[in-house]
Amino acid sequence: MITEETVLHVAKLARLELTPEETHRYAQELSKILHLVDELADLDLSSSTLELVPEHPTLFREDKQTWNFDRQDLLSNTPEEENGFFRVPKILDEGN
Amino acid sequence: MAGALTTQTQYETVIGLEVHVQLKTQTKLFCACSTQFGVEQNQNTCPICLGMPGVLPVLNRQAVEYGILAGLALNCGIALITKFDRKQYFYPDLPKGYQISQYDLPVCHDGYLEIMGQKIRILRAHLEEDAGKLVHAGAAGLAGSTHSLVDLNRAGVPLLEIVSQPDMRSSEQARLYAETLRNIVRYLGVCDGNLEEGSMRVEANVSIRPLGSETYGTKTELKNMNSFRSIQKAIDYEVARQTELIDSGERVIQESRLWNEATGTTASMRSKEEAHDYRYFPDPDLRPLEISPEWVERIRQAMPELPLQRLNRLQEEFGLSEYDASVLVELKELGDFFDEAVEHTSHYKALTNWLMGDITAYLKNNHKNLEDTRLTPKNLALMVQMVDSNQISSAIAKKILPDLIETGTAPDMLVKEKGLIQNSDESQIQQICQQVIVENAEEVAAFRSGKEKLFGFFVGQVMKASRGTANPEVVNRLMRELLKG
Ligand SMILES: [Zn+2]
Repeated sequence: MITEETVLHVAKLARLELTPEETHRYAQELSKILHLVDELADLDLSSSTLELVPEHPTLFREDKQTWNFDRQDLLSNTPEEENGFFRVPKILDEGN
Repeated sequence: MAGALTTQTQYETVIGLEVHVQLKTQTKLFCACSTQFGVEQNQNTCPICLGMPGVLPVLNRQAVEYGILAGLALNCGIALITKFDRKQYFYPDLPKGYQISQYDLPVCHDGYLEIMGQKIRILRAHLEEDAGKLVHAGAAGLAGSTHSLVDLNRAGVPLLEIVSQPDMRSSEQARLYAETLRNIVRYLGVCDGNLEEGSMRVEANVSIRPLGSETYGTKTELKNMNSFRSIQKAIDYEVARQTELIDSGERVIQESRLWNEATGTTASMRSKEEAHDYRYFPDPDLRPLEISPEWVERIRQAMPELPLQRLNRLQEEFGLSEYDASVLVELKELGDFFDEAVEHTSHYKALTNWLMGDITAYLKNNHKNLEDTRLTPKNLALMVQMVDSNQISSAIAKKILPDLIETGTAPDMLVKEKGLIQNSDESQIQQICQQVIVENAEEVAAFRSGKEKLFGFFVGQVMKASRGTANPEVVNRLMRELLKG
């Protein structure tokens, strides 16, 4: 069961603003989804081994600098730029 | 209670450390941006480390290899299968809104370090990407400043987070653990281990409990210690603070606290509780990583000498005292220098004395590192040889040392250039001695009437007159004969 409280908590973490209607609807929908997932827990898996084995070998990158992007280009999407920095509203709580 | 003792409760300190070491790769953990320090803001960025939509991270093999190497040196087991997870939180230094880290399958697990004769267990060591840096423009920290500036050069730089069990019982032990760890990663060449510059960051989980208690007290997490000394000081302060709280019937609140070096205190960061709900889940952009035992074995085979091994070798092979050996181990560059110098001389003790004494003092006074100078192991060894074979006195050696350090000129050349070759010619020295006696008749009379302490004065005068080149042994002998009268 997902309560409206849980929805509000997660919304807060994700910096989402929800209306009371949305909160109510998401609580119901998320509960249904979780219920569906719960059904998987009823499967009898005693005879199968569920191991985390990659099907393909991991792709690695060698430790070489192979590119150099144009900073101005990269900064061009930001709403506010200052002297090569991204400019953002100050966070008062410096925690984390 | 029996006796109704009024003595205060005895507490035991419980400390666990979380240490982030920045891995010395050329490029970031998941993109080919340079990790070079000190370039212009946002110079080392790309669409991947800026978190632009549609990009894919690709794992840096070297970072994994460094992680495994460090894990092996910390006596850890290496996972056969490891994976990367997303740790979600919002902060302007984290462009993606999540940090790629490792949650339940870290690359290294269950190791230990021995500190003060006690095994400190290491729970895990995992790979993760660093965040960016916030710069507060202009009026830093003032209420009027409404904006921060973000530099993402550091975002995506590989870190290894090494988490200990709460096995340490004193601030000193915690400092030693951190120092030992620093030495190990430096010997391995996987990290600079510089607390001040932030290439190594130490956070301490500290709690206290009544002596003999099995359960842990409420812990606080200390951050912002920029030196090994401040790790110890911050823990001492925090233990005193917690003791006072508990003794006065109050409770310790679980929180992060910032160490303030200037005031010597810790202060609450008052971060919101929700911030710790990171909602980890496996990063779908990165496949689980299989680590073959063969790969681990290859890394193990190539492992360089570790501090503890060097400590033992220096004592066994060169007969150094434990103290001397520990000084050469503590400062890796001194130890490396010693190892090269012994190729050219077998006067190990003299070599050690120069390195630990005059050379260390010179570097300290001139705010230099050994590697910033032109002093070569061979030149120092040659100088030691020249002193041993009486070509120069140790006073002369001290005299030419600054030039030896600064110019890189060979010691025999320096001595020739400056006309400082040791003079053992008895007739020449005798002449100088006689002159000193003539010029200091009063002192001679005083000496002869029993003021024997003056002997050093005469020798000094002769050395001065010869610009330090007279062989002190010869001076001593001749002067004594002449003063007998
Ligand atoms: Zn990048």
